[in-house]
Amino acid sequence: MSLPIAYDSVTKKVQLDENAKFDENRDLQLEIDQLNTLMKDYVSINSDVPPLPTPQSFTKNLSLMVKKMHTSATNLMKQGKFRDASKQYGIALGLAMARPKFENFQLTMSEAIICLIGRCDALIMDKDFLAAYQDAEILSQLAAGVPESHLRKGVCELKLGNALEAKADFERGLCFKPDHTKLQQHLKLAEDVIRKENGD
Amino acid sequence: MSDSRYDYDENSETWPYFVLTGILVPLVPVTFSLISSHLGKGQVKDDGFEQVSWCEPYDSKQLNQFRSKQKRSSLFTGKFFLVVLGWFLVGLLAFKIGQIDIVVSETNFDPWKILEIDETANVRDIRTAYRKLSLKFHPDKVDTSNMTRPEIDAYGNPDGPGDIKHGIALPKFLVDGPTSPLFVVVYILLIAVILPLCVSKWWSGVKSHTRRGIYTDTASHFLTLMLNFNPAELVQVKTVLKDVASSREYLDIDPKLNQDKVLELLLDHINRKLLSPKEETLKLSVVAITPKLLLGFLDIAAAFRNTDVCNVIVEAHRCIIQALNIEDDVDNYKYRQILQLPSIELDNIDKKQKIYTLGKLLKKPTDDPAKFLGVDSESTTKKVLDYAKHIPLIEPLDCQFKVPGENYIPPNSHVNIDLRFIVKSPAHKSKPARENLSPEVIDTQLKEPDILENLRNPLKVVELQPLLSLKSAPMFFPDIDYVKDHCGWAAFILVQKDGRLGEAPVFLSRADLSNMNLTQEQFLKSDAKVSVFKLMLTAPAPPQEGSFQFRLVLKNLVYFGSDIEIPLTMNVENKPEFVGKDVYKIEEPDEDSLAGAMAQLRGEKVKKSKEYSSDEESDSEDQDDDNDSDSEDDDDDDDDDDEDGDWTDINTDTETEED
Repeated sequence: MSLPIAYDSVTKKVQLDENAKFDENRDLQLEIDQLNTLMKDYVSINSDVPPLPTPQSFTKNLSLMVKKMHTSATNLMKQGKFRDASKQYGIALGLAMARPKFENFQLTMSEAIICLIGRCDALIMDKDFLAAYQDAEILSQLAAGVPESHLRKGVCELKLGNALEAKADFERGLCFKPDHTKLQQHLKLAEDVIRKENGD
Repeated sequence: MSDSRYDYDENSETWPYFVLTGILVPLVPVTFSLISSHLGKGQVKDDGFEQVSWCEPYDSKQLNQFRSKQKRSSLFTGKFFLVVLGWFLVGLLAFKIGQIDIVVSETNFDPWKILEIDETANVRDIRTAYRKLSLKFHPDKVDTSNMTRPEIDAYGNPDGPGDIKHGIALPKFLVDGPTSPLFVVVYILLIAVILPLCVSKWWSGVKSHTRRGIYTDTASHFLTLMLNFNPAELVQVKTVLKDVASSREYLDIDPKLNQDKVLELLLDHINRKLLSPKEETLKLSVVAITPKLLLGFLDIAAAFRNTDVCNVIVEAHRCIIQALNIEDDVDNYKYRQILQLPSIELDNIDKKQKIYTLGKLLKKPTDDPAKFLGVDSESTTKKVLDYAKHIPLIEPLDCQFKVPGENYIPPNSHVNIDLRFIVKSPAHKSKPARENLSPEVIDTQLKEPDILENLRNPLKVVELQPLLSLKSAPMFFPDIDYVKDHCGWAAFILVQKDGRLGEAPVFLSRADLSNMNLTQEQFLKSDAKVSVFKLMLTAPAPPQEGSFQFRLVLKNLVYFGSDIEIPLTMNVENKPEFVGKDVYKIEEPDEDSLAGAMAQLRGEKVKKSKEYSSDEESDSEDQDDDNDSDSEDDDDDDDDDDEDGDWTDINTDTETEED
């Protein structure tokens, strides 16, 4: 079986054949992109075999940059510049995600989660609930055991007008930490809204 | 005798019996199933699913055509005609059999003839005749050997040749006459062609359909979709409909249909778009089978524990039933609960009013409902509101994990979720307080006695409830019979930790709907009936102790706005095994007494024996051990020797008593 792919010697990347329709080869394109990324990372390692992905061997510069960006964004938050802060968190997130693919993945996850938390909070403070909801949604999957993830998602749902979903989110958060006061308050709020919507 | 060695059934004595048996064997069960299925349908029909008469859907002509065609076809199926024909034949045969006069040949054994009496003779006459003849023919009186000897020599018995017939239960002309080649051909066809064809058709039918009744091809298509599921892609009603649209079932409606065409028809349906009469009929046939396919997809998506896909499938199911597109227009989504009511259109709704739920519409409308709904006449408004009032909602009273026969959840036990709820109308406010429920309801409906019947089949209480039935059938969906069978809720159990499905969905299809007609006062004062739903978990409770968080999600398959979510915690604990005597609060029998001895001879012995024997081994033997209640058999002899107070069997016991 031959796939409609071609190698471009100038960019040194695999490409979808020019004649092939993109619509029919969406999955193939995804795999080609992944292959190219892996290849690029592999070439930039400059050795035949990538180093062992132990927790100790990672690009420390990158972590430092992420941390720096995160701190500056947090400072912006303190000054009340939420829009700028969310942008900075976004950059930090991009950096965290740009970690070479042959490195330990553990660090990427925790860095990404920290940056997402920051960006989500910044967006909520900026009242951009739709964007915040998307971050919160991912957070509630990546850090499902953390009650605050569900608090964030629930707040966004509530603000977007989905009180029922918000209630489920708060309840889900509360089941991990039943005495979480903020979640309890918000749950009450959501229940009030639902009652109001139902005309009770 | 004829030249062939077999007799033919020239007088039609035998073959009617054979044919009658051959017809009745399949006919009786088929008739039974036909009647029971029609009776079942009739029962449901009586209490609900009326078609909305006061409002015409946009495609009413085709819709009514489709429904009446379906009704006709459901009664006058080929099966029905076959059954009628079958019973007609049975009647004919019975008539024929009634006319058969069995001729008894001269050589046949005929006891009346031998005894020279009438067939109606009573016992006494028979006896006399017998005595008479025995006097005549008794071997002691008469020497009959010269009479019977030749018979015995020739046939091995004194009665002469037995009348054994080898026959073919067919008239002779069929076998010997000119028609015989034809008969042979028919026979060969039957055995060599028709029978194998029937069996293979049945078998391929079994093979080609899954348990849910969808084609295996379709199921494997869904399976492929789920295997290649990309979590980064957003699942929408439209994508689900597109996935379903390539099912093979649609080709049975029209072989020319393809995925794009089916999707187009489905989208036209949820957009309530009227097509040309021919297309409209096609659209309705396509729409009618879609929910079944969606449920087949749901099964497979649930096996992958994919909550998102399952949610959207149920959403798509409702969209198809209510003919509502909730994705393209924000207002459509917001007002979806209102738009599922008949004769309501988005363009007519007063969008300044924020009435998004049925509850708000019925209980506390911010404006006159007629004005908000944009309905012209007063009577129609009343009917719309009445329709809304009869959409069932679930109000949970109590929901917990239960292990039948236990009041806690031991590790590795088989757990079920026990949900006690009341069905209420959107017009009802809140729910009756527990203390308002009558003691009878609390005892019988909220709790459940731990009787053997319930322990053996915990689902029995659920099955005793009436099947759900809706007052009105949804207006736009063509297949009302489907709605009758699927008008309840799909229950999902989610694991809070990862948000994924914990079990395959179970359908809530039985509940007491009588609460719907109560007034608010009656409802709160609690004339309300409590219903029960149980979800048996297939996986056992975790092997270790701890709290495990779940969420029970009930999603209505037909209506928007009737979903609920209930958080649930499973507390797995390992309580010490209780000792039998605690149950009856009877004090332990004295170890010196006979009762104690008997008790120790019984099962309790095993439990403490180890402690005791280890004590004995570690401690010096002289120590008088009072709590010796159990001792192992091996130690018995030692004890006997060492201490009198330490009894091991009844003998020692009697000794102490003597002391």
